[in-house]
Amino acid sequence: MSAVTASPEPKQERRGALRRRLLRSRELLVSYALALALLIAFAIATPGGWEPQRILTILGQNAQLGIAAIGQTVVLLSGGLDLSIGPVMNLASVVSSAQMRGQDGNIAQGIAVALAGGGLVGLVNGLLVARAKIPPLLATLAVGTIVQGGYYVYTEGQPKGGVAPGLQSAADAKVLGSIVPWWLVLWLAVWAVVAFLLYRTTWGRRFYAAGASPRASWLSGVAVSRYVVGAYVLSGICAAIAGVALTAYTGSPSVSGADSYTLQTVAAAVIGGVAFSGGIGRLAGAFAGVAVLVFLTTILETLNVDSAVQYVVQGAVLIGMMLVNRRLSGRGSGSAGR
Amino acid sequence: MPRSERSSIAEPIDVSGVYGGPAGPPYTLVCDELDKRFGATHAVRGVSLTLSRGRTLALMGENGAGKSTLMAMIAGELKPGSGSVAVDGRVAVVHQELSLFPQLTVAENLGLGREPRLAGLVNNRRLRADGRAALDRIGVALDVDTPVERLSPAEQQLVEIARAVALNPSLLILDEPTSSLEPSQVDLLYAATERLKQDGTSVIFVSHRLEEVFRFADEIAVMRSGALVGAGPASDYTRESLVAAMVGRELEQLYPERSADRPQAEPVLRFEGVGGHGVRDVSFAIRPGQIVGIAGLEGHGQHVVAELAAGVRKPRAGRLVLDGSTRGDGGFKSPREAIAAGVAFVPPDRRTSGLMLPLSIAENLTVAAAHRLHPTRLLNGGAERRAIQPVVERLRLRFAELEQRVGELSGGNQQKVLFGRWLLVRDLRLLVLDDPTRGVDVGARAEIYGVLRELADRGVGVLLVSTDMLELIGLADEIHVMYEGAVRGSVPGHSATEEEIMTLAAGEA
Amino acid sequence: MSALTHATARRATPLGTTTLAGLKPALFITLISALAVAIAAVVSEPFRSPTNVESLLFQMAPLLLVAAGQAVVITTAGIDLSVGSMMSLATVLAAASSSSAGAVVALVLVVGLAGGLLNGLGVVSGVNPLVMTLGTMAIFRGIALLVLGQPGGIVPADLLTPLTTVFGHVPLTFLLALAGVALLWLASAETRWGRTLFAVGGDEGHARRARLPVRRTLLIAYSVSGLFAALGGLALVARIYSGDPNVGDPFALDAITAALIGGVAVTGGRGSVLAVIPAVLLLALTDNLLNLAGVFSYWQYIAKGVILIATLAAYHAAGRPSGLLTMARGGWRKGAGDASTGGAR
Repeated sequence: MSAVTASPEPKQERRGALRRRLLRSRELLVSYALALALLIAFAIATPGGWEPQRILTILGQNAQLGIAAIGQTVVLLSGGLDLSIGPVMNLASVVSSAQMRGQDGNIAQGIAVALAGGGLVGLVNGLLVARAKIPPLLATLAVGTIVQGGYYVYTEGQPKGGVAPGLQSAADAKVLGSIVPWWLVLWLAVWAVVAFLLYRTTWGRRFYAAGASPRASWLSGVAVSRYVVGAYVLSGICAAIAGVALTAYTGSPSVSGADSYTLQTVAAAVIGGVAFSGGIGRLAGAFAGVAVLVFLTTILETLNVDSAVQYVVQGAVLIGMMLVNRRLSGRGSGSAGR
Repeated sequence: MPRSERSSIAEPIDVSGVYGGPAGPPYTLVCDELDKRFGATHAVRGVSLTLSRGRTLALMGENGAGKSTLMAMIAGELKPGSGSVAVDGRVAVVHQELSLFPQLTVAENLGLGREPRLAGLVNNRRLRADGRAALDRIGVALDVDTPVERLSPAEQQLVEIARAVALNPSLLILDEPTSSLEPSQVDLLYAATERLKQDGTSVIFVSHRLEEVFRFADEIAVMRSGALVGAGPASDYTRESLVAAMVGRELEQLYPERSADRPQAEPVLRFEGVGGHGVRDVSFAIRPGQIVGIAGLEGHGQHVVAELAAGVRKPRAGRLVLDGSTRGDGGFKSPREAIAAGVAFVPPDRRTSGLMLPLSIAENLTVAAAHRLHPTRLLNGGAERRAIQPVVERLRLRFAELEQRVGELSGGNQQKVLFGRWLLVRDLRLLVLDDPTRGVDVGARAEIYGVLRELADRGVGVLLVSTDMLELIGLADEIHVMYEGAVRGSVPGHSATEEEIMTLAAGEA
Repeated sequence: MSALTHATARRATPLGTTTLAGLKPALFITLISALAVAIAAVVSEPFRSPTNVESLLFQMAPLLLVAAGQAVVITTAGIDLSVGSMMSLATVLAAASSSSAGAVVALVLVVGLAGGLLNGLGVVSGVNPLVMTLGTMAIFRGIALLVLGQPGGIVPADLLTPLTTVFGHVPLTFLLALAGVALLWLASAETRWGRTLFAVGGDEGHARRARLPVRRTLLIAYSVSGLFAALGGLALVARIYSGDPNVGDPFALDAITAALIGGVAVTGGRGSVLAVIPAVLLLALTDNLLNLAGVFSYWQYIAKGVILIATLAAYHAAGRPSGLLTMARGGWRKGAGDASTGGAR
């Protein structure tokens, strides 16, 4: 192997390699730095300080955003965009409750139906994007709108059935008497599975290639369509899981509870350094992005900041992060419809 | 320098005050010790050059010699690292990548940014009239209301040139202006440049076609590895001395020895009456150990031939026969199928179609062979490095580390990564290449040619599509020349001349 | 491919050729709308009633304005998600200040321009338009909530009266909206700025290299979108007679839908602003007819989604590169080796 310079001492080489590695993940580091800063601010600004229990609980309560953001991140990595996440979450809420009818015995069925629904919507999205070659913004927008209409019509505005109490109590439960909430564990589990697929298998490699350059990958024998469809199916399933989690947390199904989630998942991914152009960014960024959004919101709420000001701050933070990322990487982040 | 970073048609800019004061008559252009580095690459080394009013200069040099960088600095598109350039008046550049807007019409493209106005709104009548006048200046007749996307590549190239000329530049820079043009159109262009010269415009152009160079140019400047190795009146040069100056060594040393022909061997790939996508009745064979070249003007089908062979397109007529067995459906349904059968493709435009720029060198190298290298589908770093090591050595790939983003490498090393990708794939039967050494420096080219010849000697067939005729003549065992979608004629590589190929490419003989 | 042809004497229309070409999808949608109107007028008596027509036109006015501004931004291959919040902001500003009509209108216009300009600045600084306008959407909403926390407020009478003027049964706001769309169409199709819009949307890189004023063009485009969103908010006041910090929420996606149905390519560089008129008519008709038929109102979501996909499929089938086929093979993103741009190679 020939290197540009004469081989340096092993220790220097390792340090050089580490530094280069860190430089490559600049945006990721910045997003984690911001999350950490907000965490510290949270601990300082609110009574209760550094209690790990509190922090873990907050993360657990927002696990649904985290899980949904994983799906959006994967779609963004494929070079696309999923605007149907909110509607799918609502769909999951509605159909799982209808299936559960408030009974613990039906929990498994309820979840299964929700996942199937999410996967199906994802499949439709994926086929529209990969086969019909419809731009993702358009396809997922249209599908999301139709899904929205679908459950509105189905429920006539009033969701049927109810959340099984067993599921609801799981929302507050902790793992084996520890301080770690179940939902947080679920979030981490989903993250672990997807991360394993992306970073430890050949499929993940080829998926990143498909996202970075569909044409070059196609010419290299990668079945780009399959990976793209897979991304949307995964996003649909993640959204369904998130929808069920949200319903369990709030205790009742809703046709509009998740409406704001779509754009939040985009914000989280983007704060975490994932680019619109595809193939750029890491899954870990989604976690940092969600953490930033969650801690920011919690700080503002605990300080009793007017919700109006909260909006302004959130918007400003999002834009600010983007400008920072732009400076860091010195490259544009693609365009909306592409 | 990455082609995608350069601009095309420049708004007329007057660099005379910017870099070193005006160039006085009789000089339109004065370059003084222009120098530019890109990271570790020394693209232009202290080039000094002058050009008088109304004169044509042919800027010669192989791919990667630094011509594009020099032209970019002259045009004011790129800031020199050191040295100065002074131009007496406006500069207009026509690059080879067309940068017209396909959905707009010819007239709209010609006038873009300078549309004539009437009460604040665009005066479309004047716009159309101006468009026709601009085309007349170079003697071209086209319907100015046609959307550019409906024009042929040749017509588009002419429109680009018309747009530059309409800016009334003092200096017109043309990068391979005739690559798509037929002889009658080349004559048009020649007449147009003659008229421009009489009006006092100076012209710099780059071309690989030596006979055009001698026809068009008053003066010649030769670059090699970033330095100016010769400059003077065209009459000072002969074809041989020009080529020698460009290559810097005996021609035979750049291109490896051809191997003996094996006429009895079963061809690796046979095209039998293949047609579709603009080509028709294409028939030829590639035997093991052979490098078969495809030549022709742009837009006459040679890229389609490469795509048909690689499974990017499916034949509509005729069939492909690989190692003696006819392909079902006559061809390959997709590159995936072709790769499974042992056919690999190195596409042109490595930055957009070949490489995944944000990904690392290792990821780019292993994308095609990933499943083979990691049969359990779990990534095994050690196995990967062990497989990559010999390939990297063989190609003499230069980089800082394998995790480096491939977008940071030089053009030559990027191209090597593309080759390396296919060297990792087992059971390769045919390698299809399209313009594999564009923008690659001569050192890397020699290494690539060596690998190609090695592959051929091992029994792999090579199909080489190239716009560089010297490359085809130097490397190919047999050259088929395309004209209007059909094979016009074939010449043996070892004795082919540029004239022969050009004649066939122009539809004559 | 065409051989060299001789220049033919085209009919000397004052309009640009590409401008006319952009109207073709609009023609298609207009036909469909006209058909729907004709059928509905014959079949349904309530539809024919003057009150219904008036209500329909009132409903169309705000969306016409917002969609026109959105069409301009989409032409540059961008997007503006903040228009809904801007509309809400405009309504609360109208309802929360007790000044004269003139001052209120001036304030709203200035705020619209300023908000749009902010978006433009972000975009030219390299922030992705989707993300930038997502951020300003939150910011504008926050500001609207600060001005007026609940729907309500009092709109000055000397503003409300003119806004709700009706000529026969044709609202003034509708006529003004039509005029606004027509003016914006003219500006975006037949000025230097407009031509640059299409170049930037077609290929921003090429536009930069051609030394076109890309920055200025984008700044103006987003400012216009903000301005027209604010104007749309004023038109909305004529319907709700108050300010409401959330009223504009559905309009962002509706505006995008209208622009896309009208044939503006989501990948930029193609389409016509004028086409939002028949598109908005189609959408409003759908709402109106579903309401009159007593159909559960939520079916309109499904209807909108279906109309969107159906029109795009129709454009695709007609071979019109409306941004659907963004790549010939193996991919669906523009710029990654586009094999359909006349073939440079």
